[in-house]
Amino acid sequence: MSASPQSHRLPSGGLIDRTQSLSFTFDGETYEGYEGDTLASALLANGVDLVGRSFKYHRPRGLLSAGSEEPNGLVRLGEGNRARPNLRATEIPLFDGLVARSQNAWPKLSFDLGALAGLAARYLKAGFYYKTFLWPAGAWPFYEKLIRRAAGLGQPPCGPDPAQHEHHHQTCELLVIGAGRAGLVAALEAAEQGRRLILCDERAELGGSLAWTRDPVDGLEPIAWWDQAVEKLEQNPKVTLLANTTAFSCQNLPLVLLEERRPGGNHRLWIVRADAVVLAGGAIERPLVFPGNDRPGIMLASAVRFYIRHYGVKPGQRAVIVTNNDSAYEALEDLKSADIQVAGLIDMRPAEAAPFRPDGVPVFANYEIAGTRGRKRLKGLTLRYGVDGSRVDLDCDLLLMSGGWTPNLQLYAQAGGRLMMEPQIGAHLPHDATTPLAVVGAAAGKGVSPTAAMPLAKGPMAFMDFQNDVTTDDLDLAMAEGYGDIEHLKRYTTTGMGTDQGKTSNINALSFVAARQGRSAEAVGHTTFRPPFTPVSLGAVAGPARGRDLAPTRRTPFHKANEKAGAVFVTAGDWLYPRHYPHNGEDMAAAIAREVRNTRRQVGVVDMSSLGKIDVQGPDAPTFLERVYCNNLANLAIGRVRYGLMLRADGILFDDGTVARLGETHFLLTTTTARAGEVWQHLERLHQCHWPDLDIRLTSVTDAWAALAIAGPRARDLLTALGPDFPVDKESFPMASVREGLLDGLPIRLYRVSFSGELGYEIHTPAGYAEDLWEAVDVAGAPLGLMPYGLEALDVMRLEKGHISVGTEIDGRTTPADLGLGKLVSRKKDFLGRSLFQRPYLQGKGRLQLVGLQPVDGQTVLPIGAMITAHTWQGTTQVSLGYLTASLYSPSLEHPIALALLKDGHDRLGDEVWAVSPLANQSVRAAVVSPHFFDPGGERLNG
Amino acid sequence: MIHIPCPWCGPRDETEFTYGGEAGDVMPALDGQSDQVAWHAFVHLSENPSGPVSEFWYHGGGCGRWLLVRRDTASYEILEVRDAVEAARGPKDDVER
Amino acid sequence: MAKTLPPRTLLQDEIDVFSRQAPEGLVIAEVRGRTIIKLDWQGQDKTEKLDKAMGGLLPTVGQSTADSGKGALRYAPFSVLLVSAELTARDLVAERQKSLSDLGVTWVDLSHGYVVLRLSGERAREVLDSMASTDLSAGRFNPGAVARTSIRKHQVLVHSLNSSCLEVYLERSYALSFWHLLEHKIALG
Repeated sequence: MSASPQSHRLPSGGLIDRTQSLSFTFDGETYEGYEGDTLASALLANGVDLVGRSFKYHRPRGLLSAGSEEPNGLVRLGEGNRARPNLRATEIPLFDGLVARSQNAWPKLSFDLGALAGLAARYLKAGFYYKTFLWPAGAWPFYEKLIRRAAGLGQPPCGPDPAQHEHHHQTCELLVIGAGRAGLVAALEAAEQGRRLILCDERAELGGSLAWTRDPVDGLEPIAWWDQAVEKLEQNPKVTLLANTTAFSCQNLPLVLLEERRPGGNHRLWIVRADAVVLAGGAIERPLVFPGNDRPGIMLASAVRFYIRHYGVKPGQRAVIVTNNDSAYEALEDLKSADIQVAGLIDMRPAEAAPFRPDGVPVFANYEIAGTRGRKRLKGLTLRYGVDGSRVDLDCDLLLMSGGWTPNLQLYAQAGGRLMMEPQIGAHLPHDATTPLAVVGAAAGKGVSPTAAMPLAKGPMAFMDFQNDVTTDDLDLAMAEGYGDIEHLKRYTTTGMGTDQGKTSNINALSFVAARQGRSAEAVGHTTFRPPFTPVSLGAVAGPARGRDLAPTRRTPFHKANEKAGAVFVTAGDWLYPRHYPHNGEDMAAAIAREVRNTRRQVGVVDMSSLGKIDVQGPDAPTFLERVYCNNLANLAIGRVRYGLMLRADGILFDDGTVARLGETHFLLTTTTARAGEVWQHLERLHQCHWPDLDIRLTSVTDAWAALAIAGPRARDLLTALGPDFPVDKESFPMASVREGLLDGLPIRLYRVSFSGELGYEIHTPAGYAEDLWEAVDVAGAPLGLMPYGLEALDVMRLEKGHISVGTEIDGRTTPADLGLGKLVSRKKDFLGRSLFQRPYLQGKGRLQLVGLQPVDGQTVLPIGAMITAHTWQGTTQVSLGYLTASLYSPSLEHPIALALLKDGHDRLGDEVWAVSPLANQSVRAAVVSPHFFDPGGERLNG
Repeated sequence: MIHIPCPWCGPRDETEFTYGGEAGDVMPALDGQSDQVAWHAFVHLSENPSGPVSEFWYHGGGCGRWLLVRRDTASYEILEVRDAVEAARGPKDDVER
Repeated sequence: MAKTLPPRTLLQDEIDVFSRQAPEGLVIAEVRGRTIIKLDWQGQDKTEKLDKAMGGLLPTVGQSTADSGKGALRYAPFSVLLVSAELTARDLVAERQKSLSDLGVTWVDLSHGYVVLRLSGERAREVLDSMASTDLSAGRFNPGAVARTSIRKHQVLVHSLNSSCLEVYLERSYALSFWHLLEHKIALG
């Protein structure tokens, strides 16, 4: 198979740069090509016929086309984590050092064991996946293994992609998709009017069919015209020219998505908003369907012309042309120029249809192809005469076929444009004038050869869809089994699926179905066109959103101080939050226990800056807050803080936090970290959409303030040591106070609140002073045994106190009553959620209610996520009485504790239940207790 | 869809907005006369038509205003966008339902 | 006595590293110590009265005004940001305290809530424009224009000072995260 260097390169011609020799490997063999080649043209230049094995039958396949419609020439490009599967060789610009491999073949392309599947072809008919589900009974697990191994095309790399992908937003006045003749004309016109435009083309060079057609443009040779057109555009600063760039989605006009394939495998996703879009996508030549139409050496006529004219490649020695339209006759001149012998021209139409009688070429009018031969390369054909069925044999190694032209309207259809079948060309055209985008050139049917409707060939291995190995027999079988609708046929037979989405097969398939069903192609309709036009790399879709930059990360104003203090961070929502602060060699559990003990015995400090903070002002602020919180706030005095519960309109608990009254009409709310965004939106909505008459203003001040909580028996000593400019003794600044002042010269808002259950304060200061505050606290706290504590220790302490938390107890199903906070719900006022909170279902028996659990043995930590049952787990079905929401070993109490939602739990204190976890294969006997494990009387808090 | 013409910010990407559901019944008053049936209808029932519908959208990535958007659910066409406050304060028959 | 502390910068370390090998046509700096006050009011009728009280300096939505070192940036119908390099929050409001409270206009000091980056040079606009779904190109986002928009889920307020200079107001907690995106974009641009 390996050939002498560039054995199939013509001595001259083509638009390649023969001074720039490039070395590349395909399946481990080293070859040479030229600058300007694609991988496909370079392979052909080296006489490589075989580029892949087919999907189902593993038949040898060569290149069919020279463009993005290519169904066969799929390769894996690059190595290791840079490898990309399923790339079309026809679209890969050659570069020095390129490494590519064929796919779907094992152990190698020329000797593929999977080809045995070809022998089992009768078992792989249409719908074979589905049938294996059903019959024979129990056989699916066996088939599954085989199918999974054989399924799919190509293999993705395993590790992270080292390439750098990005997103690029761009607005323009005009986007022209396709830079062939029509696209260039559209761009030139717009450029002359001074419009800001983007012209993109999926190929490495702009120009499209100008490279291989011969009709002069504006009196110039096509290539000369093309050169001056591109030059004009390049010099215009308002024009952006994008080669190697595929417009793959027009579904959401005026938004169009483009994928630009940049050197080094780096992709750029262009997110373009265009005032107007012109589609100049050209037309795609259709294959003909006849038995054995898939052998290497059988190509689209236009592709052969492209390879000869654009790349100076000689794809064969002895050619035959088969066509049902005039366009393929133009290939004769190109074949002649490449010194390729023409063994015959088969015109499937009656003799009088021929546009001219070619010199020295035998013409077979009214013939069709009955069969082909040659295992890994075409060797010859058998023709059948349409009148009497007589047969003729022809030897050839290259077959140019043309089944007519399909205007490339996928993007038009994505945008919602309706298609209309045009019998003249046997393909769809844009339906009417009210199209979502302008279509020009061959995509609009301009210059497309009229095509004769042909009886579609019968016989084995007449491929309709090359990529998915769908034959005419498969379509017949599917129709016989009742899949008559074109959408059903697509799914059942897989025709039109895969990476090429039927670019070369859809029209043939629907014409075939129409003929078989005796319906018009219009009546059969077509399958739905969805993005992407050609496959897009996941890297381009992700862009910069990977690893560290996957999602926004918020850092508290104490971030650097936390780093210095040795914090281990954890992601909590968008926040990067200190989880714990391990001392030398400490593991997480030890660090957490130490942090808890130190806080309970001396004093600890924790970063609370991520709590949502909302400033509420305006004359109606008190009314507004009375409505949105379910507990009473009317008597909240200035300088006081109160715990607040917010319900959703349906009566379910939404969030908890604090309400501080800073002035007559000035309040500051805190929300949980988790719900901060939702609460903000909720309040804005209530104000703007439902209660616009309330005169209030909401401002999120979360980012403007840093917050530290100090907690523990020595918290007041620490606070005093920090030198506040107001008294903070028990009487002057009691529990639930708030005031503004100075601390160590820093402007602060001081709260006396506590989440840990210890004597505690929250110190808020403008965010820019955070590090000064941390430093001051650190210095003043050192003699008092101050240690920072993290999210985990905070969680332990809240659990010891039985405080509820969003996501565990506030889970979108519980009410305040369920969580033992029913007493807080006001019975005097109306508030959001009150009405539906009173629904019998939420008030009646059988609710899951918050309780504490303790292992009866006093030492086994209850399994996290355990269900609660009346009996121990014995592998049989049991009724669930509820479940655990949190469970851990309490360093303060020195035994395990848990919180649980238990059916009618408030009436079950003292009962014993089982906490069972089939996953952990664990059952633990537990006593139902009050959730307030630690300091239930709150003496420490109020100390 | 995808582009929503905000009356304050101009045309903006859909990703800047949060969907707020149908703007159906007026929220029942919080006057203590709570009618569970009315609240149930307000919270749980929506028309979900195939065709034009009025919806709330929050422009949290822009001006921070709640908007009343009239949108065709079949074609994705945006028919009208107004500030929710302005819409609520306009003449009564201007407000959807 | 309240300490007067030098306003700290948040991204200076990152900017220093970046500046050592900054690409042509792009200079990035963090604006230090800018006072930022948000004024809020309710209702269209108040808007006109406020404009009068501000001597016609209340910009329309999406625009800004500037007057002797003080600026006003308006990105929403019933709010405006007053910014100043010299005046403290209290001083900035004190000037108009009487008229503001008469009108029922409230204010919140957000000076510490934002990190302000200034991007200048001929590439400044292009870099920012290519990151944002909102059109920030020279023809459409003229000098003086203000837009609050979302860049990969980061809320930013962009202010066009002139054709080659823009300021970006970042919510403080998101600042470093946005910086990473900006760096990535510049490196690949």
